Amino acid sequence: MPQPEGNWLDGARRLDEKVLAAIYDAFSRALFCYAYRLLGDREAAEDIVAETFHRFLRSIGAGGGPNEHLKAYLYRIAHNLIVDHFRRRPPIELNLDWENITSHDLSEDPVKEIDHSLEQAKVRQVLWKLTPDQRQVVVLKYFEGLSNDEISEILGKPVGAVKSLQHRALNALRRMFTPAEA
Amino acid sequence: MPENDERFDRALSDYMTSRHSKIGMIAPYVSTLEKLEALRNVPERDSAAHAKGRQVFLQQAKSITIPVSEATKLRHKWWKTIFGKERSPMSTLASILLALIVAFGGVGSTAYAAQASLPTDPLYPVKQFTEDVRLALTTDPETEVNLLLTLAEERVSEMMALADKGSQIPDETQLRLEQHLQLALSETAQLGDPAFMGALQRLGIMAQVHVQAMQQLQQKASTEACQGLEHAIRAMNRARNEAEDGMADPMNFRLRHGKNRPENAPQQPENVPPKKEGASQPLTDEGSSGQGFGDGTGSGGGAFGNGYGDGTGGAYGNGYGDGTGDGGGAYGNGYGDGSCEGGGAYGNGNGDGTPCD
Repeated sequence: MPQPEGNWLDGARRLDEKVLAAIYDAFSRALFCYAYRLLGDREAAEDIVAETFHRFLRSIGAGGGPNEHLKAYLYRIAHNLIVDHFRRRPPIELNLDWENITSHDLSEDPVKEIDHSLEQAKVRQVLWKLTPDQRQVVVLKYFEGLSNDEISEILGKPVGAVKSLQHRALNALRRMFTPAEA
Repeated sequence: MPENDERFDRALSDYMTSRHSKIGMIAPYVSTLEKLEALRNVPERDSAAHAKGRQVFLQQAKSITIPVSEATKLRHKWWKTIFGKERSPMSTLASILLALIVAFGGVGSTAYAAQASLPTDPLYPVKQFTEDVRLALTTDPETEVNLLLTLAEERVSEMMALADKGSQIPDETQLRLEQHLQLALSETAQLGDPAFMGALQRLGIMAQVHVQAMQQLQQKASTEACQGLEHAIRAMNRARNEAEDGMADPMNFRLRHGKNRPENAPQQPENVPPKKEGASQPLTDEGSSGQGFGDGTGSGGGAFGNGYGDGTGGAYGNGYGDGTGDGGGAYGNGYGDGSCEGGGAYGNGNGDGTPCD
């Protein structure tokens, strides 16, 4: 179902509680997933979500904020915060989400869980080697399921550039994952 | 080439729709895409965290109507009230006396007693009033930052006292702490260099000390109080990180927290190639890895430098020219974030290229 972003923005500017709650419910989980995939840290992802919405409020409170494309606007703020977080605390070693590993059902094979978490950390490391735009395109398209048009709004680039970035990102990833074959 | 990109996009879309489609140009990428699958599953978001985040967000929205975080507006409001530029039920003299007594003297026994009150006490509104008056009467920015940090410390002390008593920490107190910290950062961004560094240093140390104290208290506090303290710890850690970043990169801090900074303005570049500084470079190759740095040309950069320049792609010019210069323009600290053919279109931009095909 298409998001009534225009109506939401009007409501948000009036600080309508129901509208704000609907916006939070609609986007907070997606933003959490976005942040988690790139940072691998649940607490940091929660912080990113909280700060994204806080900045959105500050913006509309000051008479600013987006005129349209709320989703793109929120992703853009979240992206800036994620990058900021990464710059501040670049992972020195592979970042395993121990909380996630230990919170799993005990019936799960812990070795398998650790292997999976290690694999995640490796993939995350490779993703961070892409250029910022390439990384955004890969994550937004492949994981978040956004359309080229939506990504184009988030990046502020033409759809053609998004497709080009996507192609080059996959080429770069292929080389990084399998350097000998590429 | 655009046609290739177009075909690749269609093939990828097909693959994403039906994972078994390994035909055509996507075939060489299947193992790469399968590796990416490791990040597909994200742990379920904690429902308590969702509920808490939602609640805080809605609380913050309510506070927007009374913008305590805007020091200037607040100061003007009080100034006008006290000195009669707006009609007030109290006479000007009475207002001044009340303000002086509450702000400086602490002579009034009620106001004095209120200073030790906690958010759950009946006298607490008097304490808040006193603090607002003190803030409103502070005109020197450095003094204001110091006062805001003192108030932030006071909020933490209140939270710790409540947690120690086993009481729940009200959301309003958490919100007020965040407002103090946010405003302190914003006011710090306006200070001159020596005062700027001093304020950030004090903020960083203050945050560190209080985070440690709260973490110690968490070990014996109730679950509810722990959650409240956790929120305060995060707020303090965020402020501390901002302070540390500010000391490392004052200009960026001033841009981020200065009063004319838009919320969605671009950040600084996150991965500047270590060997590439300064002006745009001619195309270079780095050995077998094929790292290419382009010399993209671009134009753009709005008032806050959030423009994108579609340029031509240097020596690999058969590709899409997308040298982008985020953050150029007025602040002049742009960076080129070109892929393959991007380059520093602005000022001291840094090209961040990746291999071309």
